[in-house]
Amino acid sequence: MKTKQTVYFMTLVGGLAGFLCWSVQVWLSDSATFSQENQWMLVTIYTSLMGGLIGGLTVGFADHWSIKTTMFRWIAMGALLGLAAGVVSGLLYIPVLNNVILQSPSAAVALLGRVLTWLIAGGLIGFVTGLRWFDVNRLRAFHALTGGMVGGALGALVFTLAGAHEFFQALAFILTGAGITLGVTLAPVLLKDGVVEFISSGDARAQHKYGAPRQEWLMQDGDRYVIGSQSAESTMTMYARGVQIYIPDSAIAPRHAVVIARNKRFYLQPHPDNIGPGGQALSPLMLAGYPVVGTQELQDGTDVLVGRTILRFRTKTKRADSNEQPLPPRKGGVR
Amino acid sequence: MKRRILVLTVLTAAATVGLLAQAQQQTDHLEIVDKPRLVDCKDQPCFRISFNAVDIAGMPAPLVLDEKASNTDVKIIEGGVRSHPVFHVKTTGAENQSARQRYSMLLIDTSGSMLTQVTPGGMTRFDAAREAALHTLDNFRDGLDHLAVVPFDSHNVAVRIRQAVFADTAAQVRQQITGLEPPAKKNNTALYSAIYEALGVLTPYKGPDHDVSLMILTDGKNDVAPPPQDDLGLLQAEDFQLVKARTEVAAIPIVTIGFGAKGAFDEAALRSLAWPSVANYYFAQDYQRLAKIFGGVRLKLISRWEASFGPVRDDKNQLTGQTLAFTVVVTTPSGAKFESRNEPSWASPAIGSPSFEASLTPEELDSFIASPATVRTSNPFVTRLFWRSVIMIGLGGLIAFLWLGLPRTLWPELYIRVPPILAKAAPGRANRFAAAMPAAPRPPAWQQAGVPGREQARRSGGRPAAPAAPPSPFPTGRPARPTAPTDQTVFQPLDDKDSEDT
Repeated sequence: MKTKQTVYFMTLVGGLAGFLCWSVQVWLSDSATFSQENQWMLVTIYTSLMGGLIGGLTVGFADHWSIKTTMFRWIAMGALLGLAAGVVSGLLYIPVLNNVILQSPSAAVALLGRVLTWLIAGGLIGFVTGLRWFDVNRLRAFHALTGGMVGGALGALVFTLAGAHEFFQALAFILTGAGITLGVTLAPVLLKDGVVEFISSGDARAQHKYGAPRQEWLMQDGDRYVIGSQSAESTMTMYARGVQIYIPDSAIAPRHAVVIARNKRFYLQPHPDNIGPGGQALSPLMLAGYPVVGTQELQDGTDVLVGRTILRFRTKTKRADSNEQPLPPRKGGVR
Repeated sequence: MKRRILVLTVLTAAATVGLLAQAQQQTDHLEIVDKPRLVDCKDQPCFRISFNAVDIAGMPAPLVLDEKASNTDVKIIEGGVRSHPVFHVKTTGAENQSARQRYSMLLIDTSGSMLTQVTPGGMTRFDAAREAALHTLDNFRDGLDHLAVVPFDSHNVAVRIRQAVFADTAAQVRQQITGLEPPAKKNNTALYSAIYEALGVLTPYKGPDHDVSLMILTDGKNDVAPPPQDDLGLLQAEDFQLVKARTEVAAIPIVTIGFGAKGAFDEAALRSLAWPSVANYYFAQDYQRLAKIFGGVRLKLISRWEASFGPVRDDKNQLTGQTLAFTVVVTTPSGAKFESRNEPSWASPAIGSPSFEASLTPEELDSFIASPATVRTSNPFVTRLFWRSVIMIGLGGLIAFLWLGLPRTLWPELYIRVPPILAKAAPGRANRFAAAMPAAPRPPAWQQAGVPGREQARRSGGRPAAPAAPPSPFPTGRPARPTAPTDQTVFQPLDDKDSEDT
């Protein structure tokens, strides 16, 4: 799936989560009785609900679209983390309510307190959603946090300024959910430095999966993608995927190669699981027609043969110097 | 002559004192004693507000009001502009036979500074506090009032408060007050811990049939030393926000009294910890003032007016995202007019719709039904149900369209069915169909040659029917998951060895 389609559908997933959350909360607020002092519980329930829905649905749909597989434990973990973010947001609402919303005689400050609550909830839910890419790039979680805050602010303004009608309340929840997932998905697009594009594969499954439209994997500085054929079922992680560029090609090792973006430069190296005694890749890994030994830098337009699959690397960063560059040392080494 | 002047001076002074005393008993303004409570008026949002009449010094003052004429005598104004109809007014004074059970705790500072003499050679602050506390019994009703008097310093704070006994009779309260041990010089003031613990003890007593309140007297500020001088685990000065949050969550009226010279005690903290508003903070410099506060505050806590008003909106959800403050204006039969000050706010949750805090009592409901404000042309629940259905269908339909409909127009290639046989190709075996896969998506049928284009289709009033497709050579149905090679795999694999050589 192309990037714009991923962004589109993921935004819809967030909107759907927000809409579901509104649908529940609007009936809950009618039937439940909460004193004013306990309204933080009500807020906690709503934010937890939204966090759980966004966390679970985001993981579920992202995996469904990208690898056509959904793992229950990943979805459960996503929902659980979203729920936890919602609970924390609800607890943080107590000081905001007591020190900002209720204490200030100014309507503008009270509005600020309300927006702040949405900002916190959106940011935290976005943050835990972005944690899924923590292994790839630690900055992703913070990008997601920013996106979540923007979504939360958008929802807050609609909710607070026009929330007297239920239509706008629902719209605010949809906007917040959509804003969070849009932020999570859009940040890598806006910050992308390179793209790994699927060209073709000799394995029908890979060709069927990524051929039309051609799949793209965006890369930004600091990213570290593992290319491999390790399926979701055989991955033991609780939340993140074992390989980020999953290609169902039988000639590809479960963990075949690693693409690294560092200081606006991109490198390819065989994964340690795929290195033979002589340092060469055990399964086919070629760069511009030559076998990859050690670490090699990727240039714009370079074709990479992984197993029987051809990937093309594209970047706006042009380099005229040598093809082979030493990779700067990485903390903890390559896994 | 001198004697005449002296007599006149004494008489003038006496008259002035008398007038001052009288002035202090006169109602000056109204004081809101609890937050406005959102109550359910047959699915409509109403509020209940409690208030007292106080004199210029903040002490209880008489208020004559006719409960039957509530609509005219009591007015509620929202935000200074919007007036709401009052449909029920009642008093919960000590003389009210239907008064609720009242639980109070009185915390008295027994730190070393309480040994300071109020007047040279006279009683200490502790003695003054103990004597003045007896005035809390002025309005005590056996069986209805329950009061616990607890000393606090910097030792055994939590234990003493948790073991407090609520005395049910005036005699028992008197015994608790007179039995207070004089403070030790080394004692410090664990003010925050005392309030925190007291709220924890009082909270379980809150309920629809109980009024709960806390009074605290101190002459210092939160000041505790590390063990062994003071107990371990006492709240420090930086824990103020923790205590403040506890007061907001507990929602128990808290009266704070600063005793002694201004500046010696933490006035800012006492003002902030008074709940629901700063109007519950008092300052006493001497015994007389303290005695008056104890007598008056007690009366203020147990005697109040309650006004129920509304509906403030057609539907509760219209209060979403709003912070409201209500001003109470009372006009007495004599024509005097009093307004409230320092009104606490009501705030809807920052996220989500507000929920009701309580329902109307039977008396309130009768008054509400009899009120002209209840005349409505539509049922609020039915109206709400209708609009919610419209929103759910509308927005749900929009999301469904954006999910299922729009992408088919934007990216038709996503929805082209791939021959399912490709999905059955044996894993590990390359096949010629893979190479034959189209690099670009096939355009929709109506865009193909010989078929009118999009614009032409629009002009002709609709999309032309696609020409009949040739019969598919492939089996129809959902593509199967990749499986192990079987005998049914019809494609010949390429030579793996050759491909590796390249």
